[in-house]
Formats: sequence, structure tokens, C-alpha cells
Amino acid sequence: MNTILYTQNKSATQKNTIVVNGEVFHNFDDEIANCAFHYIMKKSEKEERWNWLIKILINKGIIKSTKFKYIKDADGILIRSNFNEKDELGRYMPFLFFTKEKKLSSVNKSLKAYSKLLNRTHDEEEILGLDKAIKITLYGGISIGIILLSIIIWKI
Amino acid sequence: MILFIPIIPMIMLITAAVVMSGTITIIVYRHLKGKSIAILGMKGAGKTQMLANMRNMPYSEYTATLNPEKYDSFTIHLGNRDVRIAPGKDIAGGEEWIKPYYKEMIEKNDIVFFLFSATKYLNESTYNYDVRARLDFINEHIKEKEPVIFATFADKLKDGEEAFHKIMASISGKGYEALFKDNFVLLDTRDKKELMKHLNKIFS
Repeated sequence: MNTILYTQNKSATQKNTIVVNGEVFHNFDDEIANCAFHYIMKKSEKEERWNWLIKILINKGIIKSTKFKYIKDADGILIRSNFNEKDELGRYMPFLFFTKEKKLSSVNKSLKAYSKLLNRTHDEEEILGLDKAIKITLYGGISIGIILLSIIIWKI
Repeated sequence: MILFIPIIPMIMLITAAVVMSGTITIIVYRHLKGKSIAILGMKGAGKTQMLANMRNMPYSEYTATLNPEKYDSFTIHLGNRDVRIAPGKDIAGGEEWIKPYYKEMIEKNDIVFFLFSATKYLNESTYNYDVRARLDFINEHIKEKEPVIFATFADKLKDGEEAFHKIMASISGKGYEALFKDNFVLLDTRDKKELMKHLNKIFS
């Protein structure tokens, strides 16, 4: 499973959709769709990463969905958020997206392409903003560490 | 005999008052006790909204539920009584969730709620068919338990009483008819007061 997009549709009478490696499925009895559905569900139950940072980004309005999830493991990255489009009840349509990409910028590109298959759009700022915030936190932490280490060495 | 005489006019008076006021209550409650709940139902039927109202919390984000969302133990305040509800999962309404979750949730929880949109059930044949399929599934696995069935979006109905009878007529003679015997209610899940009124009776 390289890339999976799982989402709902506009009407409650429409079945949900799962896109597996570019192929769109509405029937979850199909072996590929069923397998992908269980795979992405298992992935979505894994421990979320950078929770505290995501909360800050939600408070700052960079991430719009309060249910935003970022899960990363050895297999790839999973994002849970909302599309910009709404369903018949006026609710933002949520999605789960899994890809084997390792970089958030690549995840964003891939999600954009998959969303296009369903005529949807996602808020790119959410993923790119998270990417930026993680980098700042990591590089900032490393820089502070190096400075502190340098001070300690200099004092000795 | 002396005691019996005033009872008859009293019954007649109450009946007349109820009929004249036009508030005939059709709902028959079977009082249920329990600590864990399963909220099952169709997509967009109001499951998450109902859970939010039960928890006395705002609907955190107006979005559909896609993957199961865990909730902690909470207390429903019903007048001067508190009912403690065990932690659980808010599961999505997509049919792909039936196989992995329904059986377990029906069997493990004390009270099973099933929600469907009354308007869609009465007006859309595909939706109607899907509701019936789920009722069949519930009926097959619920055994001694009795579910609480909420036909939601009651506020969107022109005539609630007519809708109630239409729904009852549509399930008549079906294998799952018994599920509707008690605790079948037309409800607007956004109406917290109304929901609490029903929960008060269900959890009494």
C-alpha cells in the first residue's frame, strides 16, 4: 500500500470513498479497498506525533481542524484533517491520508493530487505550516544545544 | 366498588384532556439500566451531536466522524440524578464500519442506540434499504437487549405523528419489528432538552 485516501462524500446516501494507489473505490467489499481500509484504520490508531506543537498551531489558526492528526512510522506518514468542501449537512468533509513519503512537503503534493481525483481541495497551509514548525523546533533545539555545549566547553 | 366509581370519570377526563390538547404520547418506554452505551447509526444521523449533548460538551468541530474517536467516562445529569457512562468510542456511520464494530459494540454495551434520519428514511429508497439492513444486523446480534431507536431530524418533518405511523407501518411484519416495540422515538438530536427528557425516562 503506497498511498491511500479515505473520505466521506457529500450525501449520507453515498458510500464512502477510498482511493488506493490512484484507483477510486466505493465498494468496501472489494479486496483491495477492504485491505486498504483496514490498513489505514490500523495506522490511524497509532501514536500521534508532535501533539503539543499541533495544539499550538491550532491555537494560532495555522491548522484549522481541531481533529488534525499526524502519525509517522517506519512505513510512512498519515494525516487526518478536513477538506475545504462541505457535505449536505454543512459539515467539513474529513479525510485520512496515508503515504509512504517521508517528507511532509511530498505528502502535501501527493495529497493535492489525490484530492484532485475527487474534485476536492485541502488546506495546504496546515501540512506546510506543520512542516515548517517541526523544522524550526528541531533546528532551533539543535542550535540551542550547540550554543549551550560551546558555552560549557568555553567555561571549562 | 365505592372506590371504583370516581376512577371511571377520572380516566375519561384525563383521556379527553389528552386528546383535546393534541399531545398523544405514543412512546412507550421500557426503563433500562446500564453504564456503557453504543451509539450506532446512519451517516449524518446525529450520533456525534447526541453524544456531545449527552456529555454536555459543545460539538467540538462541525465535521463528520470518519474514524473511531475515543471518549472518556462521563456523567449525564438528569434532574437530581447522575448516570455514569463508561468510556467508549464514537464510531462513524459508513457501512464499512458494520463488520469491524457493530457486533462487538452490540454485545459489549449495556444500551444500544440506533439513529437514522426520519426524513431520509421516508423519502430515499436507498437510505431506507440501508437502514433496514442495519436493523436486520442489530436484530440478529442484540439477543435479550432492547435498543433505543431514534428517528432523527424530527424538526424537519411536517407532521411528526404521521411520520411515526408511517415508519411503524413500514417495519410491520419484519423480523426486526420487535426492536421498535419500546423506546422508539422521533427526535431532533440538537434539541438538548428534548434529548434529556427521553434519556431521563430511558435511564430511570
